[in-house]
Amino acid sequence: MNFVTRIVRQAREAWVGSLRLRMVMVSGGLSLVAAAVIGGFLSFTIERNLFESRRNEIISETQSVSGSVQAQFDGAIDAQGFIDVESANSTAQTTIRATTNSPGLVGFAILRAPGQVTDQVMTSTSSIGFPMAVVSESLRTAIHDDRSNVHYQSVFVDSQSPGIVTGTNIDVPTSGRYDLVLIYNLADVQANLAFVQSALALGGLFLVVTTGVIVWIVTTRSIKPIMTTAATAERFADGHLEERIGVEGNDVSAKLAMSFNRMAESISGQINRLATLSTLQQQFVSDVSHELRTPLTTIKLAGSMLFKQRKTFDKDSARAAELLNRQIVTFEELLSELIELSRYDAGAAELELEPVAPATLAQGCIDQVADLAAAHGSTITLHAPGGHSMVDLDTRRVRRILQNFLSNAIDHGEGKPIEVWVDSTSAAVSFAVVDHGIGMTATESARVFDRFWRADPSRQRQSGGTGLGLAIALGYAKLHGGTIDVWAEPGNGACFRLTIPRDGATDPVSPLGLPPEVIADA
Amino acid sequence: MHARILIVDDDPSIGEVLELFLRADGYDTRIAVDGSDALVVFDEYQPHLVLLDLNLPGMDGISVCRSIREFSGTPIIMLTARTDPQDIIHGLEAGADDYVEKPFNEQILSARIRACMRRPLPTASNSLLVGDIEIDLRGHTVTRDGQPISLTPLEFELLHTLASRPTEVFSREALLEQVWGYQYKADTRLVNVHVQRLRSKIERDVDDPKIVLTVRGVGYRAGETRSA
Repeated sequence: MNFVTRIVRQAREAWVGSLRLRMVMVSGGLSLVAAAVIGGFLSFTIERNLFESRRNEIISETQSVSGSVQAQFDGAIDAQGFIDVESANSTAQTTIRATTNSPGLVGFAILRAPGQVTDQVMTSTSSIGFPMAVVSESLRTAIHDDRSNVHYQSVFVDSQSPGIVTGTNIDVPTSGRYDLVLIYNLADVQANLAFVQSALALGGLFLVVTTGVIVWIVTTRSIKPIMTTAATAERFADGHLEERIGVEGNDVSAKLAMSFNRMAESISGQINRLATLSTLQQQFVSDVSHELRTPLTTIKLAGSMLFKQRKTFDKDSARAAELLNRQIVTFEELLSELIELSRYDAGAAELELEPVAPATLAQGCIDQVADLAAAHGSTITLHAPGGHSMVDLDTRRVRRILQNFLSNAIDHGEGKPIEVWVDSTSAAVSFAVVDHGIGMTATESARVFDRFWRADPSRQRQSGGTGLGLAIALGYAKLHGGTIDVWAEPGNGACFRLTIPRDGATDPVSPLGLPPEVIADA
Repeated sequence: MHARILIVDDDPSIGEVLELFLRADGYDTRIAVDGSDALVVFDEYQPHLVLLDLNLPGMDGISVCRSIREFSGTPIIMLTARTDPQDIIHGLEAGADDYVEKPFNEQILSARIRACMRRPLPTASNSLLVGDIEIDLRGHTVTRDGQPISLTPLEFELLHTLASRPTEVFSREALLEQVWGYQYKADTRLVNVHVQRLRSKIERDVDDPKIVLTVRGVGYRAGETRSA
């Protein structure tokens, strides 16, 4: 059953999947129908003609035989009006043997018609092995009813071969009416017919196959440009923007190729323009960020000198020095994040891997923010069902990601407990930071990785933050070949989960779940 | 007498603000604005420490660093606005002791300067032996078979730290703390590059070190001490 289902499914797939197969099947099917109709008609006509001509031949032979036999009997009466019927009978038999020359004569008989009283009775005779059984009553009745014509009936002789029985009336002087019955075997006609039929069938088959092959060739030739176009479009879609189709001739396929090439040209031109523009923009951001570092160095040093001496200033100037100092810190943070991002965008960032136990790394990050968390009233707990063995990670970047998760959790955690989960499998290592604070709507969670995006601006931002933190975190995760997944619900908190594949595993299942599912078995 | 610091930076305002800040900290300073100027001033001023911007017009910071190292072990701290890790490695390989990235804050710079100029701790013994190397702690010299080997103060300090506790394995972080004076920052490239530089001077075969041994996954330790 299963096997049958599979075969059916494969056949259906092949049918749907191949235009050529469909074309060949349809045309083959149609030509098969045509061949069957034509062949059937021919076979039928030939059969009728063969049998009719043979039947007519047999009937006319029967007529001539019966004429001869009748004449024989009539001539056997001597001058006194006597007749030796038995000897006449045997002479008649000789005559029959001499006058029949048609092939297939099985036997003959001269049978006394039933129900008559005559002067003398001639014995009914038949040739040796005459199959009396095939001579039906209805034939003999027909002979009795119409004495001037030859009657016939189709029968089977030897139970296999088609045959024909002919019969006609003979009047034997003094002995009354007799039926002259001849039986012919038509096996030769049948053999001829079978030969013709098999020739027709063979011809039909040849026609079907030829049609199929022709359609296959024609279809192949006519869909070749389509296939070429499809293959080229596929490569184009895979990023080989220089792929083009060779144009030959001036027909519709050449037109298709030219249109495709024009489209490809236009798209790749557009993409190149955008890529150049994007590279220029990235370069610009990178250059600006770097150029700003030198003046910022002076500003920072000068600002901090002013800040240190603020006690000697008047009240307003002292406040100005404080503001200046605080904003310089923000400015510097923003600048360093811009530089990080532009390095990532330019593809210049390289992983610096070293073996580290993920749980230890997470604990280190927690320790760093423990004071800040305590100031917000949150406790941070580490749950590490796994992640105690060494994994190759870029510790600086992973630490940066976790610090970002943690500072978000502290900022938006409303002083509720924060959990950090670490687990690993052979395919991946995963870190998750869960808070139970204000959470986010689905629209907001979809945008958290956007650069400079911030949730509701009325929210307090106490740990600062440039709006680039999660964008950088995602960039770092991708650099590791990993991802960051987010779950959040308004009022119920949020979970950020980092998953990094190990040993080149692709698309691994994260060892940790994401709320509202259970994160892990504690 | 104040410690002398040579500031090499092509941006006059950075030079000036550094000067203000360092003088407030009690240092004596001079400014050089390009590479060749830096070498001339160095010769004449004989500073105790050099703050060297890597990105200089003409002769660049790395070349200046290499030139100074040809005749002097004076501590050099690179100032760099570049973040390409390769630049920092090149600078360290050229002989810089440490680096700070612009924009730096003044506490960090003070800490780095103090760490670089720190005098070695007094020790009970006068000399230490590592392999076939003898370290004279008083004279601050290192000799093999009586032949002196020239080390920068930083390299001397690194070797001294390892040799002072010959059975102990030092992690890179521990070395950063003890030799460079770092508390939190963990750029282990500093250690790697300077261990390489130190080995190139004191090992007979750099590929088969006998004096400074690597303990895989942990850090470094001093080689077996052989009594001469």
